[in-house]
Amino acid sequence: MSHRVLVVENDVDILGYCKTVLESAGFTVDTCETLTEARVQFNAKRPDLAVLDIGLPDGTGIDLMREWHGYPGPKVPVLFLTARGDLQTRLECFQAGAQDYLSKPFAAEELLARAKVHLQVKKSQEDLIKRNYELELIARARQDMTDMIVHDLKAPLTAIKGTIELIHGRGLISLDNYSSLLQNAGTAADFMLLMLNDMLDLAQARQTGLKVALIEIEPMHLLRKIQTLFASRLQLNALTLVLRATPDITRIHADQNLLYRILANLVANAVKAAPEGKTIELACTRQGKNIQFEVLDRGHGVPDAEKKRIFEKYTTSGRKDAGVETGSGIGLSFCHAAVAAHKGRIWVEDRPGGGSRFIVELPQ
Amino acid sequence: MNFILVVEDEEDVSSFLRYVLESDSFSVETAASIAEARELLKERTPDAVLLDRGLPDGDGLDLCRELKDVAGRRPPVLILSSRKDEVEVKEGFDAGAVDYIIKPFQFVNVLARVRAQACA
Repeated sequence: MSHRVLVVENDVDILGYCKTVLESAGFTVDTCETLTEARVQFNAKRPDLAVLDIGLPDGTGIDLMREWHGYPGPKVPVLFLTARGDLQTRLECFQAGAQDYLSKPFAAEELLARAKVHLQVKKSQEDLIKRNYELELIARARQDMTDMIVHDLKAPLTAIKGTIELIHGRGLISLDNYSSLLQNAGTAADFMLLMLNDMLDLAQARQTGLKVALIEIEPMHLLRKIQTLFASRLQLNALTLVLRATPDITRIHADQNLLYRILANLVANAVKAAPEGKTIELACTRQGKNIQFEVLDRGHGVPDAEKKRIFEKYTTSGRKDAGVETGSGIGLSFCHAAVAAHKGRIWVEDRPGGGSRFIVELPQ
Repeated sequence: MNFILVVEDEEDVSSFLRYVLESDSFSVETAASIAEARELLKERTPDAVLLDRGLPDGDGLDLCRELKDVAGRRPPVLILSSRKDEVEVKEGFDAGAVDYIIKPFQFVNVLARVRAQACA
């Protein structure tokens, strides 16, 4: 896009000269002879650079620049055209915030050279402002993520600490309860580890890419492991996890550890989303040459606008409705990276009858 | 089965309290705000209430004071709070609480006190 320059000068010869010179270098040039006209042009066209004469019929160029510099946002650079030898006026221009001046008469090359320098400086400033804004957004996103990680780690840690206290306070609870308490604490530790491993793998995916070790897996065996992992959580929330695998799929190829954690994350989200008493389904089916794992819940579903975004780094669906816990979003970012490392796809659809259907498709 | 209402907005604390109490054969409902607790109290009067003070919609003590009107009778209320000044603890008992457990607490301590109140 060509730069736009506004030239304000009441000497029509100089005005025409500036226009010709600047246009020859590819700039878009607007011209005018009075302050009043310049104000209109400036507001309508927002030039990247202004070339101003000082003495204009209805005021001075210096006053005009002061007006413009009072506006919010980046200041437009101003190059003044002054009479030769008028040191006092030139100093006044700089004090008022001008970037540069040219003494009349001036050479075309010098006008162009100075114009280019100021446009370059302006562009650098704008780039810096933009970059600064982006960095602020990143910093805010990191802070939000840190807050959510702390929140997500607090619950399992409280359970572990509480279990230690209860077992330490011997005699208060019966031995029968010890094993279920310990199992619950163990699950809590598993979840903390799951989350920390997701974070580590995400960092690795960003740096060197995730390594996938493909082995033969029996899908039903994997699904049962997931069911065991969630046993106490499901019981606590009165949820049922139904496993389903097409009988002829006896072996699939995938990274066992990564796939286990992908499914664990999806089921963990389903447990959070599902209202009490409902059923969550975890299925493995064949789709042409590919294998699909599906996790189906009866929660609130994911709004269309969020369906892609939730797999991006550190975002959540932003749902804050009652009873729906939101997390750091690390889980789904991890799933996305781990599925991509398998050269597969992951997406979410609305489930007919309400809720979500998360699908992981792995090529075989 | 003794029924305990846990009014606590810190989800990690309320979910573990729920787990522990349920393991100990109590039936448990949790509420994360005074408003949510009022709704639950309309349905069923608990045998004891574990009540946090710093709730998103006010001081738990307000709920403690109105419990008799909401629940029909006054179940024993055990306050859970990090406000531990003598004056603040006294406020709790003045509002009708039977116990005042200062945070951070030991779960074993809470369980013992709930048993003492709910099964009395």
